[in-house]
Amino acid sequence: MTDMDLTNLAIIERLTAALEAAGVDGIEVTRPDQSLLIRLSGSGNGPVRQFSSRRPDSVAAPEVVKSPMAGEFWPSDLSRTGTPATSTASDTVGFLRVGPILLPVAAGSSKRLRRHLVEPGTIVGFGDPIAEVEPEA
Amino acid sequence: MQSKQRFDKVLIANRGEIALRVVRACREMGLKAVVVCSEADRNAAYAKSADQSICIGPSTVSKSYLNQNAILLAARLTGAGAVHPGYGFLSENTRFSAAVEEAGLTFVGPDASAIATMGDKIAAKKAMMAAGVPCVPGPDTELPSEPQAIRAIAAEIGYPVIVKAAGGGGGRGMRVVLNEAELLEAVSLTREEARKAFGTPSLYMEKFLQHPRHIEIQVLCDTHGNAVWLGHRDCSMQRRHQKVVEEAPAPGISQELIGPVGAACVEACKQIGYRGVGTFEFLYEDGAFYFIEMNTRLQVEHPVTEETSGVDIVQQQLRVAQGETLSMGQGDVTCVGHAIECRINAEDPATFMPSAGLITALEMPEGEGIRVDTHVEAGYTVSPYYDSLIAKLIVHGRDRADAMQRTRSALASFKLEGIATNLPLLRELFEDAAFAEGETDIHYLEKWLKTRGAA
Repeated sequence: MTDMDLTNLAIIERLTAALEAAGVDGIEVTRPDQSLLIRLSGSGNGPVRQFSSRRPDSVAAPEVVKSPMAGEFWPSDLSRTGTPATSTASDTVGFLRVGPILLPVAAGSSKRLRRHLVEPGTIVGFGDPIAEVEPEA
Repeated sequence: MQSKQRFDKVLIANRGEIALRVVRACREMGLKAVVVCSEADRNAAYAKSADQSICIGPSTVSKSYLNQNAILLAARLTGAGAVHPGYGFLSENTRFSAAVEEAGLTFVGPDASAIATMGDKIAAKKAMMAAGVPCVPGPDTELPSEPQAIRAIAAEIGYPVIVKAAGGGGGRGMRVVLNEAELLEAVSLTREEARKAFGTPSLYMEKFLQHPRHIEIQVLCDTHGNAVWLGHRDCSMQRRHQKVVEEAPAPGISQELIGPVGAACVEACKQIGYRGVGTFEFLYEDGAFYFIEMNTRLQVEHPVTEETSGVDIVQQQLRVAQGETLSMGQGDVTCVGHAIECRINAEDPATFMPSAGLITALEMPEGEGIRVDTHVEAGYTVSPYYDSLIAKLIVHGRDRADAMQRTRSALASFKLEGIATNLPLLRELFEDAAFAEGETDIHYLEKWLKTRGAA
């Protein structure tokens, strides 16, 4: 089943109508990518609707880590675990290898690795996207 | 034989039309080509035409096309066995040539010592005089610092004289002196400019020729002591020392007159152990040639020589770099017909201001004797970061008049929209009677532009 878009005004309108019909004061929906809060307060002049809807990616938008130079990309131990980890300032998303040189590519402080964008061993150029990270919640 | 080749993959340390030109030569020779590019060029179609392309840095040339370490790392990364520098950028950089060789790769060009010798104009002049190449009157030694000695040299040469930076070239670092009253101040200013611009205050002095033409001789040398010259070119149609139109052969210069000069150039190459292609540049006035400098690289205008001589100069460069012996002797070199090259620049035809932006439409001339070397296409965005040269129109005809007429037709059918180019100026120039007559000097275009501006 496809998740509905909680920022879509038509959907919010339908949900509000359904809440009114059911006599419910409000609803809060939270998903990893979106959240929605609708509050209804009854009065003599009819319901006052308050709603807020947001895409969490506006505060936790993924950032692309680009290659700082040409090299052969190899993911670091941090990323090889396959489970997202929260990085520290010294953590890397991988290394660029040029001959005997290994250049670490920093993930950035307090970042969570989302995914790598290139396969291990791929030759990447300056500015090529190599990983996606997102700020720690 | 393939197994005897020194390399099978060439990294091209350049961009634009010349990168594409070298890719074509590699492909025709069965070599793989790697193109390095900057961020501004990473999505250009020409970069993707190579077997491999790799972005080595930001758009700024100092961080990409002039970044020696990044280029060498890219060569290592891609397994390239040779580096072709094209023209401009690092093509005449002594340190780069040496660094490529030290990295165990082949530099497609002369070795560092030859570049250094020719890069120092005093050393170059000394070497040329030793080989019997005619030079501009003036000593082949550095200008002394004592005022009296400077005055004596100028008086012996005869005014007007020109003071030049030993490390200069391409029209930079020089000052004309008309009489003794201007001499010492001119020397002092040029010395300071030379120190800042070229890292050495070393100067030399020569006779200033007032109405010369710019004539070039193309040479090709292998590493086994063989050398030939491939005819001559006239590149007098210049604006601010930048060539606009080039042609081969130089009109009005007989084989009997230039033959001994070409032979002397070949001899000079043998004496200094030169390898690869190179160009001897001369000023020509009143029937005499005067050496000014040698370019130790492929030139922008090499196609006019290719069209008249039938020799693929870029392929020859690569063969020499592979260690092959030249497949031709001087007797095999014959030049046929006449060729003209027009540099198509992305610039305003009136103000000469660069014009960057999107090319919305492009129709290039085609037909017998027509060649266009370019990296642009409809939808290409001309970057403001680099030289404004976007295409070269090269036309070959049975003689100069035929080549001129074909060039007029080709220019008329050349359509490029979206940005300003110098095409209107070139069309107008090719209608000029004096240019059509030939043998105009290096000041002609600037005078013509002034007249045109006043009209």
